[in-house]
Amino acid sequence: MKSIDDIIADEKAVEYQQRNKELFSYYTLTLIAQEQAARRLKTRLKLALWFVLPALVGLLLSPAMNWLTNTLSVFDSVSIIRVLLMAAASYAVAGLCVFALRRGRILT
Amino acid sequence: MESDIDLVKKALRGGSHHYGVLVQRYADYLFGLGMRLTGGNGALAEDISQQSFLKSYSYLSSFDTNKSYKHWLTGIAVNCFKDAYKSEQNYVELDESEEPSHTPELGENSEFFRLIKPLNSEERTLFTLRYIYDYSVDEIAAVTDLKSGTVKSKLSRAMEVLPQCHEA
Repeated sequence: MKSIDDIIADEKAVEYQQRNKELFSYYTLTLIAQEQAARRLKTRLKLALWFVLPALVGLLLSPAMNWLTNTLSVFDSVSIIRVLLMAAASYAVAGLCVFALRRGRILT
Repeated sequence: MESDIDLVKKALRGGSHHYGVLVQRYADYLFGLGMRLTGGNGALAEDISQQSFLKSYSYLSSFDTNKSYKHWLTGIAVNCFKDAYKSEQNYVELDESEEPSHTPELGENSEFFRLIKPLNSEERTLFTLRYIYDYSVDEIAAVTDLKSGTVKSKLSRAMEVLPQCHEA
């Protein structure tokens, strides 16, 4: 049986070669070029989007502004004091309900 | 013959055809390394060498031109092997492959593949780099991102495993 040193020495002498180095090289460079082209396209698309974005926002904003103004105008007549009073009354009723429920549990 | 560093610099300046010279130069080296790491799986070795070249080109700008391109490429190939090994745990072993996809000049040394078969992927990598490619422990540590002490202990562990398995 061969010793490990002999096996290592034999393996060092072996020279592995690609089946078709030219084709391998060509295919690898093609893949690299493809990747580069994809990256360039992405950059250009991003750039184009940045240029188009302000126009797109302006275009969408004009109908949206009308809708927003109409929606907000509903709240023009609302009095803040009345809202606060309603809130206080709601909390008071809720508090009473909780108190009543606890008392009822204690009694039972 | 132009040096690797010159070719890298030219490729960085915008000429992938210069990189083609590097691909030609190291295609056999990476294929051989892949064959040894995968235990004779030609298809996987080809895949690893191609992935290594693609990654190397992507990260070429981060390459330190004061260092050896070959060592840097070896490190990338080792990482590609790790990734391939993880995703292809059940790859075809040497004795299962029907047709060899490579043409060794001096005959195939399948005894070596049998020898390293009991080693795990990391031990196989360290063993191959140390004893087939004659890398120093520090060079292996730099290539594999391990500490020199860890490389030494893993190598001695691998050497402990090998004779037992080979004699068995």
